Amino acid sequence: MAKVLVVTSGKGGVGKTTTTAALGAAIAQGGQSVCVVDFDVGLRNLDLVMGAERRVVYDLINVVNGDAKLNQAVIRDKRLETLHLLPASQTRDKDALTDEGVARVMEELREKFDWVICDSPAGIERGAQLAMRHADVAVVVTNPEVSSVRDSDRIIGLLDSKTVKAERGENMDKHLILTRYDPSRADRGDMLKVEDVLEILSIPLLAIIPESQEVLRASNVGCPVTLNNPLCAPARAYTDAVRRLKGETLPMTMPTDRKSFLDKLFLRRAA
Amino acid sequence: MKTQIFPDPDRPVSAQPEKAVSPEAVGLPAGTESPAPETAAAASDPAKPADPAPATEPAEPAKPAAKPSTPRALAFRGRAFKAMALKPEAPLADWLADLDAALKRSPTLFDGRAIILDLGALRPDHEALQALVADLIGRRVRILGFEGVESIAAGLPPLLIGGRPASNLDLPDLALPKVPEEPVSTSITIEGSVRSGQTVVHPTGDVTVMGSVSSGAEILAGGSIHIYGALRGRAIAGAARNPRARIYCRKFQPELLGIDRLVRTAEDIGTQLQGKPAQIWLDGGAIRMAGLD
Repeated sequence: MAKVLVVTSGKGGVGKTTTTAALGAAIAQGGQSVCVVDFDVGLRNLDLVMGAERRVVYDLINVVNGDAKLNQAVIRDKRLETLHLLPASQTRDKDALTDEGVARVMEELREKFDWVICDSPAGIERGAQLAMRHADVAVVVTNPEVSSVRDSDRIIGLLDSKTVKAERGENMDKHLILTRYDPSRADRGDMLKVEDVLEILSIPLLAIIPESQEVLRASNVGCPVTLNNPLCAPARAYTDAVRRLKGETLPMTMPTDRKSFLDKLFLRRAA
Repeated sequence: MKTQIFPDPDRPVSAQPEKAVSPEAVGLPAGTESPAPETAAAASDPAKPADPAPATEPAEPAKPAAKPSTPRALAFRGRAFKAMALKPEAPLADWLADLDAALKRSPTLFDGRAIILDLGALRPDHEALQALVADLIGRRVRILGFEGVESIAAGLPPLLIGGRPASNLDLPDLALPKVPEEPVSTSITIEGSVRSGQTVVHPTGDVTVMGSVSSGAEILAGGSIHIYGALRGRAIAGAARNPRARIYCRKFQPELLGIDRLVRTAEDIGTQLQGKPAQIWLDGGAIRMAGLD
């Protein structure tokens, strides 16, 4: 049975789309079939991050409305044949999504893929609620700053009340991915510390993604960071996150890009 | 002997008034009247105590009683009784459900009672009536007759006319059983945390939160507020004009505190209690705060 995972945050710009692409690629690298679904109708980005923007013919709205079949709209990744994308429409808005249509498409996706990863739009309105509605697992993406944490808290409240799972009285599986984390700035008090965020949100931590040039670089070339440079620190953090999602227990480490001992020494002094 | 004397005087006596009433009550044709005195005369004959009984005598007084061929004068009298009338109403399913509820409360409600079914409100067709009768029989309702319609098909109890309303039957056990009054619960407990954007409003009592109250969340209680995690959001206690309400928390980081219309924002709260267990109460019109340790 497929697992439906929603990547959500409440606040915009914290790395939902990057995380969706990175997790999708990392799972697909493990051989399981994955479909990443862009729910950000009207502001689609996932196609860019996945490097598929020039191959979009049909989109989620077309499938929801029954104008196109699912296999016509789903785009297979050129680098990984187990990775697929269902893009959002750029010309419509979130009101074009119907509850029944989304439910039907999610059901169809469940039959075809091992994993379905929904990239939620920012906010707490209809689009975000539809993206999370059919999920089995939620990944809450948070930056180490107060506004992002409070918005994530709000989203966790919605995950516990507005999803099908919650309405059935089941417990929604929620995980936290802390993105753009910079240990040195957290130590200086410029950023919230991991413990602070965990204390406020009180959901299990899936990964800490360090602030890194690699993320922006990968986005700009249209490649998930886990595919673009699997050995860089953020890619390793995402790969660990996937292993934890699949049930492995790994020690939580702060992945850093390899630096020589002398570099570190030099950086310390400079700081 | 005694066996002779006993039946003899009795018979004519009982026969006499019967005979007198029967013609007027039923209006029997005049011709039928003649045999009646005859029987009386025949019965009175052996009443004469003269003969010491021969062996055949006991048979004689039995004769008039055993004479079935003679048309007996039948008594038909009008009589009024109180019967229970049931008036089914549409929708029938609801009415039957009400009936079931009444039966559940007093299962012997219809036992031994004759029921008149008033069809004036329902006016069912034949099939519907058959079904209704079957439904009622299934509930052990014994239908004596119907009223309220013009005709009733054969095979069903008869149609009754001229029914007059009588006082309601005294059925004490039909009244709704008194539900034992639940003690008014004055407090609620929230097992988890109250997340940003969520509100808990409980104007009638205390609120206990086992987790934390996040920034952007709000608790409004008529009584006191107990928070076993961190208080990072808003807590307003004593909203029902209760100046004795208090707020307790394990970790004091509130955005806003209120007790009985007095409110303090985080800015006016100060930092000395930040992150510590604390209680907040009202003292002579001022909000007071103190650590719990």
